[in-house]
Amino acid sequence: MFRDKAPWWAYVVIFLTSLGAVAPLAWLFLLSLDPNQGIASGSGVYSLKNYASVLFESMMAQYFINTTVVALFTVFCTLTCATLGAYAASRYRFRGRETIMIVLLLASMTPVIAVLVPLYAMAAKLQLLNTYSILVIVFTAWQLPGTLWLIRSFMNSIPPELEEAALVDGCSRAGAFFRIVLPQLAPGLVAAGLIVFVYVWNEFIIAVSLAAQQDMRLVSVGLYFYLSDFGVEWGKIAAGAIISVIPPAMLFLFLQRQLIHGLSAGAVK
Amino acid sequence: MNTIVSRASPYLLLTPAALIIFAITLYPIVNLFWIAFHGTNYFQIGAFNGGANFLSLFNASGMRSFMATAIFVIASDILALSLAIFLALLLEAPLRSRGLLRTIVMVPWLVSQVVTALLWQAMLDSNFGPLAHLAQVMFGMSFAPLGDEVGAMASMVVANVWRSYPFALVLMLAALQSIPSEMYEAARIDGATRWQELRYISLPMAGQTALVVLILLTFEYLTLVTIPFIMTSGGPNEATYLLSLRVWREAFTNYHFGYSAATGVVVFCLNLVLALVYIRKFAIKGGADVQR
Amino acid sequence: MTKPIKGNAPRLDRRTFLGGSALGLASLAAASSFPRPALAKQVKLTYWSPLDPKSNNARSKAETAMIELFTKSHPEITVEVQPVPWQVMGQQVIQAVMSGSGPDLAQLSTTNLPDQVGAGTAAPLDDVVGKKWTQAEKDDFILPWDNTVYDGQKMAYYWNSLLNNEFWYLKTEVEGEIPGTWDGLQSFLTPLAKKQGKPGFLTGLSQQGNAIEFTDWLIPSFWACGAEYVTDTGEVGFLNENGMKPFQWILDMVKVHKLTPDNISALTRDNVLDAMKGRKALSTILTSNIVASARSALGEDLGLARHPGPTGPCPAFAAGKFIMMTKSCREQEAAGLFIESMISKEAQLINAKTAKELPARKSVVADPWFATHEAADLKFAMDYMADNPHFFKFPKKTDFLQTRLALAAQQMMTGTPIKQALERVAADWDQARKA
Repeated sequence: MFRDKAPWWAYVVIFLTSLGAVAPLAWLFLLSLDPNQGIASGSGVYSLKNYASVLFESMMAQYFINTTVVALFTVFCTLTCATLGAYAASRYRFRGRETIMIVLLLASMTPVIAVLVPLYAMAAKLQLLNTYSILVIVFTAWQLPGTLWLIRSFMNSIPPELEEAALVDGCSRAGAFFRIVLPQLAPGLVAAGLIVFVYVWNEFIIAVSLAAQQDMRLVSVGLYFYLSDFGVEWGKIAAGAIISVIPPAMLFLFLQRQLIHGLSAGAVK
Repeated sequence: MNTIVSRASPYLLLTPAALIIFAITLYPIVNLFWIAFHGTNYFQIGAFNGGANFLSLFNASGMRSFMATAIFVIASDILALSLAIFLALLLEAPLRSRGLLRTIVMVPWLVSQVVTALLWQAMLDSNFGPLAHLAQVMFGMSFAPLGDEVGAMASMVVANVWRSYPFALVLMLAALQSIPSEMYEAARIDGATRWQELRYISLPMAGQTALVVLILLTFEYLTLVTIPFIMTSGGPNEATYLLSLRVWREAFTNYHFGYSAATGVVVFCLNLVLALVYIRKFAIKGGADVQR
Repeated sequence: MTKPIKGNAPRLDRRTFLGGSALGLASLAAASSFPRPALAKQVKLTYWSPLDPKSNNARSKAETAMIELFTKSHPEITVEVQPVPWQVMGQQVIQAVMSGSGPDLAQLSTTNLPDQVGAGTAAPLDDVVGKKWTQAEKDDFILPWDNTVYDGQKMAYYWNSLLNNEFWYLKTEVEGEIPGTWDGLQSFLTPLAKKQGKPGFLTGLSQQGNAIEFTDWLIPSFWACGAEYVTDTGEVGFLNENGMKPFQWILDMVKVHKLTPDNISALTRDNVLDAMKGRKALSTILTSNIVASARSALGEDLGLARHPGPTGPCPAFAAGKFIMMTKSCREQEAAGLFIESMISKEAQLINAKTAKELPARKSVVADPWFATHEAADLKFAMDYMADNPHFFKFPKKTDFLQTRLALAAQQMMTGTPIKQALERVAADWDQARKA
């Protein structure tokens, strides 16, 4: 919209927006430094006691490991299944292609909240409650349709001519895929992977229902379970919350460019 | 032989995705409908009882839930989408240190709903929250937005939009970036004003994305439970007792799995209607123009 | 549902109370001299507790010590503690046990027991705990034996006692004796609240945490007014003149006397506790088990009094947390031994001393520690419960009724007539009971 230089008020608006984004978290950070448990006294005393308490006197470290493992496996499974499916839907013509894609998309419209009880019963029957597997499977199922569509449209934006040339040169389909398609697909995969990662990192309802047992909890569940009957220990919750934001924030910082590029190249238009 | 394999291969390639998705969603949905039409005693499912479970939604309290959901979803949609479009237009501009600004603006997306709810609950706390403190010091008045019906709903919408608009912003930004710069150049040669560029190029080109984003946001808001669960517990006076929270609470506080399932069916159907619009507007079109 | 003290419930006036203590003590001493039965094999028990053993607070430490007491005398049994927050404990236990993956044992709040029994998750304890107990030992519990008996079977044992309605006030700002009546309280607090520029009395009507912040004082107020929470036949017992009085009282406190702020509809127990710790209000009504937490912030400035009522103090609303064995339990014998140990005099004394929890048994109070200043808060609660008790058994789905009552109070704050709001509660309750 602006050709050469943004006007001054654009900076003002963006400054205010940034402030709105960061100020609550900055306040949360201050709260996390307040060693007075229970209430934020604004006493002007600061210490890292709450962080020490979160890291060493709770299972938070374990929750981080759990979340990382589940998130990475979910990203891997989602991207693998979605790429295979997207390749089929993008590069082949076959009967029922659009119908299948739409039905898969419809499945993703299931409201999580409504199917918790059946999911729980199912997980229990399969003896999968409180395991990494059930979380990975359910999260993958929930993220697959969107990812499939995202990668499919990204793949559609990659011209097939290069692949066709490779096929003519005697390359196998798989070979053409790995050598030609995959490298070009990278930004799309990064974008989709980041979205899935952030989703898993922040998911609460499924995680609390299927893996509430202490050694299997994810970060957000662990944070919620900090609510004790002493009154909420705000300092510790704040410290935990701040720590919990760091990993996705780091990832995002590094992958920010790819995210927007990946989404704009394929994505929703 | 070869042709059979290559005929079958697209189906084979789609099988893993389809299997996982159906395994995890299909059975629970069928189960949900089953429970919704049966009497329940705790987790035990009793006899078919027609639509009796749905009656629990058609009373004063149920109507409040519909109302609260409508207000919450519509208000959040409007705020989040307009913010996303407006900021995407600004962040498309050649700003100094644009990458950094984009990153900062995106930060709330990385914050989970649990943290969002706790954070805003603490910020709005009438005892020690900074906003209450400010109101006291600057205007000498007390500030307890979670204490009244309008304030609680407004607070919840603000917290929800705070966390969810950045992702909408990224999608809008992506859409704006995919507009070929030749179009702007051509318009400039024709002497178009900035406003005309916005009106005739940016908005129409990004309009389709805006609709998709709108629908995706609506899905999310319709099924959101963590924020009201932690922030307001549906109160005061059921002003923030969203349908989604009702699904949760009927099941886990009141142990009425039948009522919970019936409400779940309603939420599912609302989602389905939206999904159909989504598919008509986006999926079919998107699928059609990329035939190769 | 309600068991007035004169029925077959154990009578708890001061003399039998102390007598019972001595008797219980004697029989306990006798019992502990028998060799403890040891199991032949290694056994592991899973125990769900609202207290996180990793957490660095007095209550968690106390429970860890109680469990150590058990594992020391039973080295063949290991106990794995899995913390689950009390807000979700009830639903988590039901879900887990129904799917066959429940813990062996769980500690829950009194309000949860009827639903656990209703859902069929609790296993009867008659054959595993206290098989050889004398009547005196059974009478040693502060809460009535029958409170945890369903269909003639003992389904749980109290892990502690709780006094739900203690009147808390700030001593430095509220001088003098707290009047025992509503009218007295109002005229007593009005000038003080004006002088200090703070709310005189704070409470919260939020539905969060199943509305306990509100119902913990509402239910004993019903009793004091001659109404009931739920009647013997399971209907609401407050849809009458008497049942409307407590609501009228809080409405007057807000609207007429302005002693209570008008934004209490969304306040939770956590909010009220935080407000008291931060000296933002002169008084409130809270539970015995968080006194210690408030004392750490307020020190000697926290005063305790009996809950004022229409004509004099309301009855003490005694409840407790209980331990139950679930249907998932495979090692019933070991689970029984664990429960016996957790409710033993030694364990209860550890809990009282370390965590300032009220013991579940009367005989524990005979320990000299209870005469010390440290135990003053516990002594206050025990005396209140002994002098003016009103024991009662919660109905099924009490969480639902409690949240509906809080909602009714919220509606009254915005102008709905008391009677109309209560009629709605009654209708909802009837529908819920029959569902």
